Amino acid sequence: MGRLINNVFNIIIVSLFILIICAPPITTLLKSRSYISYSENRELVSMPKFVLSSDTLKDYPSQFEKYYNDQFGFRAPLQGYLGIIKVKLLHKSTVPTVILGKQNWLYYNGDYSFDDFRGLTPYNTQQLELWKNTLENRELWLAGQGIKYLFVVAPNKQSIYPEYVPDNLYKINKKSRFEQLLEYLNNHSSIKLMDLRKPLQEAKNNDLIYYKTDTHWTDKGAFIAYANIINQLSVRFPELSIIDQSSLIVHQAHKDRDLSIMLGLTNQQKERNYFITLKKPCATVLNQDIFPQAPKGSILVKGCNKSKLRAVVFIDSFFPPIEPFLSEHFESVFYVWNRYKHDILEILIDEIHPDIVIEEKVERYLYDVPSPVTPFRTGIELARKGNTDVAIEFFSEALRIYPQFIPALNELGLALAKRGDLKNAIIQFQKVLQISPYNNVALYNLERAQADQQKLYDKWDRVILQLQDKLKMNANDSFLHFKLGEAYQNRGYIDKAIIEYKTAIKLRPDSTDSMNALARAYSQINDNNNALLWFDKMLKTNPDDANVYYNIACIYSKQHDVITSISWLKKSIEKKFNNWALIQTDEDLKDIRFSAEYKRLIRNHYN
Amino acid sequence: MAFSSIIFLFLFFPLTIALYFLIGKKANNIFLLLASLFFYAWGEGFFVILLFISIGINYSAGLMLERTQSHRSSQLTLVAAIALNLILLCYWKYANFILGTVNHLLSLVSTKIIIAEPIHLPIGISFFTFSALSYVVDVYWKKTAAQKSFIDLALYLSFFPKLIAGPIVRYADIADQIKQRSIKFNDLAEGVQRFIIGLGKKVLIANTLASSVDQIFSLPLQELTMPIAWLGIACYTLQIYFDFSGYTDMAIGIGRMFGFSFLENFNYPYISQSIQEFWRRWHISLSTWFRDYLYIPLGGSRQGSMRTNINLLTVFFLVGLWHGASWNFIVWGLYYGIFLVIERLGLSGLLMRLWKPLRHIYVIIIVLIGWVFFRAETLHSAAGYLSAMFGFVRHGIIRNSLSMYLDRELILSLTIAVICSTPIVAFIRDHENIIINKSSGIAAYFLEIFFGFTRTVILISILALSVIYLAGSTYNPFIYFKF
Repeated sequence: MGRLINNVFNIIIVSLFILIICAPPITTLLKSRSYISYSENRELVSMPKFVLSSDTLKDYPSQFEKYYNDQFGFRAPLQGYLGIIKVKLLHKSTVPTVILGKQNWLYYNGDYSFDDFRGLTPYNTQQLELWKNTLENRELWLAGQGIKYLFVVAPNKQSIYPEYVPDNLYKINKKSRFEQLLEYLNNHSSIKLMDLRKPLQEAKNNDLIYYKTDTHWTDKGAFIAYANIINQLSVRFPELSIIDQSSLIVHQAHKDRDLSIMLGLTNQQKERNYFITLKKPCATVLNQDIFPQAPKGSILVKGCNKSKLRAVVFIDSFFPPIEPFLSEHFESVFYVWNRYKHDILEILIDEIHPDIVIEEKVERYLYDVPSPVTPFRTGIELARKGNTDVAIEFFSEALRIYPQFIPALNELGLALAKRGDLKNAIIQFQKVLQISPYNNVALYNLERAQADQQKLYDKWDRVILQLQDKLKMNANDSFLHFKLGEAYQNRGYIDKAIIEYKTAIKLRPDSTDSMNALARAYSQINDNNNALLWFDKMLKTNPDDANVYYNIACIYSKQHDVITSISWLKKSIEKKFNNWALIQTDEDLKDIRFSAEYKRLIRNHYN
Repeated sequence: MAFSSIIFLFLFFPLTIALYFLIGKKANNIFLLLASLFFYAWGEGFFVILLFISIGINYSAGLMLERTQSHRSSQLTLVAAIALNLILLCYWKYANFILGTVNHLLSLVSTKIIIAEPIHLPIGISFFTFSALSYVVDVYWKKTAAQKSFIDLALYLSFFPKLIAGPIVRYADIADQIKQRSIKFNDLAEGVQRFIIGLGKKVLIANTLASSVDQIFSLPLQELTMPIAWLGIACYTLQIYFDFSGYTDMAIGIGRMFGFSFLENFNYPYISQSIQEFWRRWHISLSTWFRDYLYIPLGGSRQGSMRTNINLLTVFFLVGLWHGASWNFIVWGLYYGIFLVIERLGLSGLLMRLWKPLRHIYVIIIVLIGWVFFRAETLHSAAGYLSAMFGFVRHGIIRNSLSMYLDRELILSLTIAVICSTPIVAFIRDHENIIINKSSGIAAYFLEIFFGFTRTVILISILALSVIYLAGSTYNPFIYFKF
């Protein structure tokens, strides 16, 4: 009898064992393939193709295993049970990216956000400087085109609700990266980030501002952010005012939130929350045909025809609950997903002339420091292809972000030397040597550039002597004086050049070449009034000289008067000025190249 | 393909066992051989050829040893076979290490070093080479007859349950089973239960401990506080036992399901009262291998104290080296050799007079310290870890407190691990029978049913939990959708 009972239990054990190990493979065969895992938020691996060759055969087992690990039967429910066992019974997270806080609060730990929270990864001064330069450049560039720029930081959940963070994640340094950045900008820059921590912290006593089981803010939190954005913008645009409470509907709903889902707890701990919607929204989704190639969902356009304002907003996952309210205030808003994209913004500025550009980033994304490396690499690429002039633009861009970037200084120096601008090339190499006195590249190139410059000087010195000799015989030859002026100018003696040009004009008042050269010499030493005076005189005698219009555009650009400069440039083009290569590379015009009008001119020409 | 992987548990294993029973007796050895070669090739690709070469060498050596009449030529054959086996092992397992050491020495005297592509270590080579050596030596000693069937010898060397992590099964122990075996339901039931226990040991205990061990061993030294260091090595001590013995349990269990009985490989090593005893209980198939094929042929303990001690040190030097090609393993082996010598020289007499718990503490401390050398990547980091354990490290900022590691899951698995590394469960099971036998009539049946039911629930829960944990290991979520 004892044996029998023992055998019955053995049969039960063996049967259950067979059932448990056979059910998944049989189900895998029978069920249809799953494409997406809802809780993992990713596409599942599909069956690898079997090819009989030694190369593919080698990798086949690992690929097949990846497929099978993603597709075996009962995978999702088994993983769900693990979530329940680990989280509910053992109070342990199933994934390193989710942290279990006190009282069932969950926090997201991706993008090193808790290392940052604990102060383990502070910025160094150089990184802070990169941030400062990048933001200042952006603001300045937009301001130059009359556009208001706003950088909004959505605080991490742990910055607003630190009290539910587990005790063993204690702070080692007081300041997070965001706090460091705020302090640095406060002390070293006029640019202001939008810091929402205070209003959100104040509001959390009355409402749940962030979800308990999600990384994002609730609709209530989002509305506070929205209200602060509008308040900030209304300083410059008084027509903006926060949507009245009476036109809002608040309702409750029960949903799975993202961190719960990530733990594998779908349907296990839904959260009941308040949601805010508009009673009668005016803004609707608009079609956009500016970026036909843009991936679906990467750009959203909305607008309400009651308004005249336009905006471009760079957003991440914190913005969607703000978007319906913000859209009400604009004729059109372009919401561009994921991060600031300069090329898209340039085109949008041209096409829709926004009044406002907002960049929204969640605090943890500040982890990535803006880098001068991207423009630098582009510059290298262009220089290699022989496109020196555009390469110079990119090296300069890299240096605007990080002025002490030695490789960019060296490359800029080389590119300038290649273009013949030895004087500026030498300046770049000297800058490198100020930072790093034994930099071999700079030392070598500086020596070469100085030697080349010396050769040029020698050449012009000889020309000057020859011309002076000729003038001894023929002191009243206007052309010789003009030529001598040119030689002085090339040698770097601008004052002497101006005297010679003036003499040439005195001898021959109708010499446009001399007048032109004189005006440009004044312009070179930044005596813009005299330069304009002489260009004006030239226009009186010859109102169709396209070069003169162009040169005037240059002078205004150097004075940062973008609008006037553009209007003169347009006139020169009307008068058939057609040195487009010069337009695009002339150092004097660098200030206007940011503007939409300038880009339109260029585009019209090339189309 | 690890036994504790989805692909093995939910595909290879059910498929192999189902086909095995379908195919029937005639072709079952060739089927098992093919399944084993597939199993090896799945993880090691074309290195399955190496396994084949080893099989070829030892098959021919066995036949030749049996056929030769003269003592001289059979000696030569044996030497050649051992040499060939060791050449395979040394080239694929030790060449990188030897070259590294030579280069290190070279760098002291010259600026030139020898540069070569690193050689891939084929998994299980130490195990199948040692099985093969035991086979040829046993044939030479005439302890067993040579295997005439190539397939049967190939199956002996490559049988997948023991192929990649042992136990090192002796040919003589399973020769009859290869030839003929019948699978009774009881074998299947015992095999299944043994497998479930092994799977649970690996997935629920060893893997859980491993994640803390990995974190702790990767800490920079200035963050490794004394309590964390001790926690780390305590976890590792249990991890390696549950990992290795769990794997052996699964191997024995699978073997059993196919009608093979392998000898035990572990016998509660952590309850030992001396290091000698520890080595009689730890990795038994390896220590008896070294005893029979090295220690005794060297003269064992019959040639005086001095010679015995040298033999012990030699054997344990090689035991260390067998575990891996690095100085850490050599130090680990010699460390045990030294303790064995000391115990022989009189420490064991002293120990016998000690209070029993103190003997246990002595063994545990020696073993814990030994595992530091085994787990650390280099001798330097082992030294660092040991200095942290004994409080010789000046700490900087401590990012992680002990509570960061000591969560509920770890406490639970540590507790279960400590309990299960003693024979408590075996003790209870033995007493079940005594209690049942003592009671009579209805009470005995009820007790029988109660114990049977408890066993079933516990085993099926272990299996279910292991499967859930394994499924969880393939869980890979993202916060935003990965396109």
